[in-house]
Amino acid sequence: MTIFEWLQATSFGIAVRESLWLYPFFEILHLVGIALLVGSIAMTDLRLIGLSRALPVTLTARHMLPWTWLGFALVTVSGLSLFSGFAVDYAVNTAFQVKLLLIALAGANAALFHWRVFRSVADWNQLVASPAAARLCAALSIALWLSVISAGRLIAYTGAGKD
Amino acid sequence: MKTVLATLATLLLLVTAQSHGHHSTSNFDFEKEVAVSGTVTYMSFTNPHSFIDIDVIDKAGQKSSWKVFATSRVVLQRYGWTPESVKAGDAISVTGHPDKTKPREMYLTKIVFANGKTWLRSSIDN
Repeated sequence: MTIFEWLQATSFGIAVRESLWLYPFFEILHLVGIALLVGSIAMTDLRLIGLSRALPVTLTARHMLPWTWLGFALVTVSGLSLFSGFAVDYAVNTAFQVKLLLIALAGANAALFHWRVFRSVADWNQLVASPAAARLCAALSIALWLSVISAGRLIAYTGAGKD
Repeated sequence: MKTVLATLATLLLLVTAQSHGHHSTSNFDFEKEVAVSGTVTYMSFTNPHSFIDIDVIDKAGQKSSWKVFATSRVVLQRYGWTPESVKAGDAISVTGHPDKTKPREMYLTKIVFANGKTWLRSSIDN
């Protein structure tokens, strides 16, 4: 028995599939989480790209980041719950695998920005253009997160090609 | 830059996409109908969709396994289905739209339950 078979055979996995409203409940939670996560990230990225330069970058980031983490917590909890209902199918689903890869890339991009690019923020905090590295990270972030959403939605329309 | 990346990612996804829909019905040919009778081996009465596995014996005596997809448990229960409506071991007859590529999969439109009752898929339900 694989870990995926075990997971979807647990009483929680069965409940996700068979209870009347648990699956839709986690779907709703997932959508709310996506709105918070990608919304707050996109607003920060747009500031970095050069919009609303009157807003200090540090203040923008400080306001957005708690909502980003709350959104991340919501999508993680709801996503793992939805996964546990159909772990065997999802694990071999091409769009799901692409989605996980894209999330990893988006995370690496965010880490790179936070630990390298953001250090010099005092030099470009307000009323000036961000450095090219910051703008590139921000554009990449938006592209990656939109791709994550696309891949997630396409899970329903994709398979492993197995019978 | 971002537009190019987003377009590339979307194209990649579309190219790798295959027709085994998880809860989409676009893989079924709604112009065609197929009907089989057989014995239920498994009923998945679940969200976001349900399915019934059926063993069908053809005229030559050959056994084949069919997979019949239906809508969500929430919607089926609204139509009066219960966990007792279809069970392993039941003899049932089903009509549905065949999968475009998989010869023994269909999307349920009509079922005659083991107790003789007939259920027709509502036109409002996809």
